[in-house]
Amino acid sequence: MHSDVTWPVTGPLDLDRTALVVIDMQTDFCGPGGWIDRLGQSIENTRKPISPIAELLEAARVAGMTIIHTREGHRPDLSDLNPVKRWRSRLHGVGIGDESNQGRALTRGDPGHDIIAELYPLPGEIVVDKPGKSSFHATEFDQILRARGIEALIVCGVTSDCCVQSTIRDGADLGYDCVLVVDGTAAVETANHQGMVDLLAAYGGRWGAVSSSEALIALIAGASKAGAAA
Amino acid sequence: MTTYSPVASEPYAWPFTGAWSMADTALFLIDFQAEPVSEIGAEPVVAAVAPLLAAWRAAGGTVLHGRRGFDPIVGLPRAAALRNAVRPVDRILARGAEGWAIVETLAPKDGEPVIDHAGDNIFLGSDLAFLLQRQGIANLVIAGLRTEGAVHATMRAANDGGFECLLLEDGTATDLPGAKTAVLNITRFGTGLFGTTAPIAAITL
Repeated sequence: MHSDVTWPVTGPLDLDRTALVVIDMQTDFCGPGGWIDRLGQSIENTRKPISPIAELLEAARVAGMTIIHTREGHRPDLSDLNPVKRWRSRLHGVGIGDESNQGRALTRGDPGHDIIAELYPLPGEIVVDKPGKSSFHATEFDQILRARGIEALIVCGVTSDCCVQSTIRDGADLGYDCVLVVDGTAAVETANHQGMVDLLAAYGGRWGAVSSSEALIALIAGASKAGAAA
Repeated sequence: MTTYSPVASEPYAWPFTGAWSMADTALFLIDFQAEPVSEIGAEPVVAAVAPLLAAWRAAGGTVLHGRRGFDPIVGLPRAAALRNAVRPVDRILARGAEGWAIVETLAPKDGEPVIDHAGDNIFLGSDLAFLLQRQGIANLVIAGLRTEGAVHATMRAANDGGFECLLLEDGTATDLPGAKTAVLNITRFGTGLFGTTAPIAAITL
């Protein structure tokens, strides 16, 4: 489902003021042997966005855009892990900070926490480590965006119903013009993914627009060409 | 102070610590304002929440109120203003505009903090986290409008902040088809992605 309001709503796409944000494409969420896999849940859904995101990354790199990758996870001493988050994760089977197949689950510095090889950040791309679902919670994300003069966000990654949605909602509240890449995101459960996309697309884009990687790549290429001609 | 037993909620009995009291738990009523109540037809929700509010006050508990609206001097961020302008319903109102006030039945009493917010996540740019921290609040019982709007956004942020949240299923409503079911499912996903949910009747004081 696409929203019928064009994006950006604030004016023509300005690549200098737009960031590609790739949320949590970590082994723990979408890699074999990662946390989700270890919990016995399928990673089939969370691997679907890999190829569209790779294509978007390529387009953003060619255009010289700001690229930000996020990783959900905690300090090795777990001093930033809320007791309730730890308790719920243990109830799930493998607690955050507990030994999993790829080191400690969602723990910074361990293999499962890192970004999958297919989408690994290049030197010069920003990586934001976050202890919560929203990229804006207890991170430098907002300051980084402001320092770069970023006003619009192209958001993709996993999972759509969790960290992706929290980031778009907070981004919208803070004044960023957000677009969700509908084929560049997924959830473990398809129904939750669809429910989330429907929510975002309601009323022409409740917290931002919903578009496809193909449409956004074309938009980036067009803006890049216009910028070069100017 | 009375210690209460866990509330029968999904997907686990709330709170995770196994007990709660008025010293560590607040009732948070979000955006029960005249326009959304009327647009949604949420009068039955208001009526259902009122007895809980009365009981909570009688037990000496902390009550907070969210109230959505933008400062007319400031306005909304540009992207938000453009989106707000094309929405047929669920408009963010200017503070003081018709329909902006909290409905009489659930109106704040003296001493109950009202947190004005221009967006959906009530923690952003407000003193909500500070107020809760100062009072030693660890748990939030949440009711409000709209389910997929300020209620869900604020519950997400509360969860990131480590608050243990319980959403009252019949204490929240929306007019967006399918949205309430989607939000309740996402909230309870796994072992409670953003907390738990229960009917108002599950809370006995």
